[in-house]
Amino acid sequence: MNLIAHLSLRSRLLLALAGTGLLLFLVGGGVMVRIAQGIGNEVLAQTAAREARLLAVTFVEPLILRDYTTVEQLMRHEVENAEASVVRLSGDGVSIEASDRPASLQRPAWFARLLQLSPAHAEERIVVGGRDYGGLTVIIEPGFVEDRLWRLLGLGMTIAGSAMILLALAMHFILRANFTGLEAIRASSRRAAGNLTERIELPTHAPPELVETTRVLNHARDLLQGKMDELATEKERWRITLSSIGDGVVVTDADGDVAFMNPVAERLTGWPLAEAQGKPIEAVMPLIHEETRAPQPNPARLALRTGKPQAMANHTLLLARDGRELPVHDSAAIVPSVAHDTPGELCGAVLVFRDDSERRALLKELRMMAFHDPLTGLPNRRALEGRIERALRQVGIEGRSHVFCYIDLDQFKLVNDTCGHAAGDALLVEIVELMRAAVPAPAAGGGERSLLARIGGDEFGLLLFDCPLDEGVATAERLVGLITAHVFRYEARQFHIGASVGITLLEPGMSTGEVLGRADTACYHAKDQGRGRVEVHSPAHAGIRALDEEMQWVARFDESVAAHRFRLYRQRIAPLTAQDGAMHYEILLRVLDAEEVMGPPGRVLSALERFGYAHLLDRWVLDTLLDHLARHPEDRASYAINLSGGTLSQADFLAHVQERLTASGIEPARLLFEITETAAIHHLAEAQRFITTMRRLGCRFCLDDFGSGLSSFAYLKQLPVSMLKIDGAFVRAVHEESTDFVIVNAIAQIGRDLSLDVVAEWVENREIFDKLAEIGIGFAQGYFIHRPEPLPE
Amino acid sequence: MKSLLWFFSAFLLAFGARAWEAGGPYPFGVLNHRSLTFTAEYWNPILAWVSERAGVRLELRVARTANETTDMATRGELAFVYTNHFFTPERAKLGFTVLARQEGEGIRGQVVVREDSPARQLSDLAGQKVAFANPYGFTGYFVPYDALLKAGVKVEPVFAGTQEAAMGQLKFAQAAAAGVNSQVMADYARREHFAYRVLWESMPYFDLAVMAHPKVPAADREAVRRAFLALREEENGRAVLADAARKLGLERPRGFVAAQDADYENYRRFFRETRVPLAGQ
Repeated sequence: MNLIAHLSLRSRLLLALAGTGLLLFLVGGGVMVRIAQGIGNEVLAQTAAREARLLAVTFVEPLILRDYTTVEQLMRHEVENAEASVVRLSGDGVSIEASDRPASLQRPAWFARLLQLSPAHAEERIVVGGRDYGGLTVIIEPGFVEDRLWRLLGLGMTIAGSAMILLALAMHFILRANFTGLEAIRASSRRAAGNLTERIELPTHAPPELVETTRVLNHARDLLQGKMDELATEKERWRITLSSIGDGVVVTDADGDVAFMNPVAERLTGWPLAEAQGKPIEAVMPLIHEETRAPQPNPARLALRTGKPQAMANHTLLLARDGRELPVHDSAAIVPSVAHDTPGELCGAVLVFRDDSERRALLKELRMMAFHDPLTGLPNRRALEGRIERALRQVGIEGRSHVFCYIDLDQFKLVNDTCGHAAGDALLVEIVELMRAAVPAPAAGGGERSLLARIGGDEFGLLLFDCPLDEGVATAERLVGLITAHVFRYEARQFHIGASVGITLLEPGMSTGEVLGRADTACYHAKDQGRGRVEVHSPAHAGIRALDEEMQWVARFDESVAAHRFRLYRQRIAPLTAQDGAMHYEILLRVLDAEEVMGPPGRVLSALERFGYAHLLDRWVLDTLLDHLARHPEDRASYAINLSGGTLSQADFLAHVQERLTASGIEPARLLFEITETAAIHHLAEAQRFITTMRRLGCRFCLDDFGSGLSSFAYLKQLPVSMLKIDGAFVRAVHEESTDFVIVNAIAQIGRDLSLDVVAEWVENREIFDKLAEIGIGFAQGYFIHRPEPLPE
Repeated sequence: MKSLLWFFSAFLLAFGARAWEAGGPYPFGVLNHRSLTFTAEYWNPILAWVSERAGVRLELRVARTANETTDMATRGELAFVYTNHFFTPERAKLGFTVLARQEGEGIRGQVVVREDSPARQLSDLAGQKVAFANPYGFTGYFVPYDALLKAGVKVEPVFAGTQEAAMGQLKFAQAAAAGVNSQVMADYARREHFAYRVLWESMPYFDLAVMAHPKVPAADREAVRRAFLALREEENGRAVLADAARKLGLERPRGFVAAQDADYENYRRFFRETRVPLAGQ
């Protein structure tokens, strides 16, 4: 069997052919012997019968003539010259027999034994006209048939042998010619010995099957080489990746024994890869619970056991080989086999972990930052809200009484704006120290009595636990007194800071927002009442109620917009002395009040500005106007929009305007923004940046209510506006009051000198109009010229 | 010399010891008109039936040629013989007596040619080969050759051995004409599908006679005679005749009728008048 295993394909084919030939020879030989036996016996019988018939005919006349001599001579002639061995005639009183001597035969004796032919006997009665002249017996020995068959066999064997030899030669040459390609493949495979760049070269006469096969093999080698290159590249990439990443990576086999570790894993565990390989994962990286110190299951083992990815529980410590205890965070994934014979079967796990020390420290810090003000260290608004919420539950369930104080510093903005944020921060730290010292300290038993928190920039919250309202008011007043008495010194400058406090009692059913809102409202009221005061929230208090209403306006701003309670009107700004044929309008806001009467937005606007939501209204006005202009391309007029100070300080308002202008396709030159002097003063830097940027786009700016402030002229140097709108208070009586005339005239002169357009508002009659024209005011606006009208639908 | 031979023959016939006289079957000779096989095919059944009917065992004996058969009879080797050769002056002396003859109107001697032969009369055969059975044949030699001689037509006689052999030479153009027995010729032509034309034909002669050697006991002779006559009378005898006729392709079976020496007087007269040399016959 081994011998056959080493035989080449050609040798096997030749051996198979030879075996088949031999088998065919033996089987065919056996069959041929059988056939020869049948034919031989048949030939013998037929020959004997034929000879008997012929002899009977031949003997008729001699027997009629009783010429027995002739009969005997004919018999002798027959046995000597024909196949008959014995011819015998008996009957009619005579018996004549002739027999031949055994002839020398060519065939070997074994052939006769193989054939086993029997002598043939034939009997023939010679009867003529009913007269029986005797019986003729002819015996034919099989020798001549055996000789003939022997000769035939010899001829057949010669032909068959020749055919076999020719076939063998033909097969030899055919196989040699056609297996040359296979030999080439074999030789190439031996030469290649893993070298996939080795090419199989076929002789030109190679059969097409081999050409195709070789082409496939060469192609397969190319593909395999390419894949192996890719694999090697990939392997190297992964090796470098694993070596480069900051996480520790440990790969185990299906038994959980370490198979690979990257350098980070080596460093963290303290185990070199060479020593760790083959060891159970638990031995290389034992894990314990951070607090209980109990051993923790290794995620890689769990992943192998469950067949699912695993993440390590928090609070896990890795016991390094050198005794270090490292907080680690890790996860384990299973590695399914991609082998074609075991697809999907687990073949290992990958454990990825990292030193979690920094992250856990950071988490601690973040947790601190999430609930504390980093500047003062006080709990922040979120922490305060959470605590108020718990306190409210205590009020409802346990009947305890808590008080909340909303503390707002006065003059803090002045310090911040004049001395910078660092000064503001320093001020806040000092104030907090003051308040910390003044608020109730924790009880002797550790019971919590107060919580001071920083709510916003200069706003603080003080939650007083188990505190009656009057006691809370007393505490707040004490704090106001301390802050008011405090002198803040910064770079040789001194500032006196004040504080306003709003107080509310926590009542069952209140929400945290309501607590904050009530205290905030009370605090506003305290500010309105002159600052440095403590006000307790009471729904019956008129001032508080008014503030509540304003707050409701702010809270319901979105609903009002959706309900179309805000409408845009426009009032024409007509050229007075200016040579300008274009149409100019100022956009005015009107509000539908509770009685469905349209009126100026006075209180709404002030509420929005008070609570810092005026920018929402300005955005709405801008968006609505741009939508209108987009719907009415026939409207080619330019429009002026009023912007509040809060809007200018909105970081994203500038981008919003740019985006809307671009989207609507409206020429920027058709927009004119009016900024009040007071808004500009409070947000000077933002106003400058906004105006500069929008002017670059093509928009224009107007300084509104010019002249109403104390330092209007000074701001002209800092704000690059293109238009001045004289405060209506100077215009209303310009034709009657000489002071107003002088001021308006001065402003007009300034406008001319600075090449600024000047608009006079509140032009309510002909006299004013004429007077302004006399002064040389460029544009006029007022009821005399045009009463405000809704924007066309 | 010939006289001596005849004398010796007569001596043997009269005094010589013959095998059939010592017992055993009587040799029954048949004149060779056909081949030996046809002769045996025809006569063996008849002789078997006659032997059984007569209670006298008869055994067919034929020589190679008609002459030899006649010589056998002349030598006394035959007890019975079916022939017409024993009416020549010399053979008549041997004392064979007629027992019966083949039924029929008789036979004629004929000079025949192939149907496509250009010969229209005997003179057209002058100088050509004419086949005859043998020099002993009556209708197969004497009668037609006598006619040729009397017609003054010199031909080259060719002896074929038997009547049918002579006909065969004519058929295969080995001879221009043949002298034949009209009956045998007709039988042969029918069997072999041979077309021929008769140039000359003799007067009728009775067909061959069954003759007995004078040494055959009278009782046996009579029994044989009766048996031959019974052939056509008895059903199984007719069956034997019919079978024998079928084998030879005869037109109809031919039985035997009673006959006597006087019935063959015309034979004797012919031999007295013929121009054909008898050569001691």
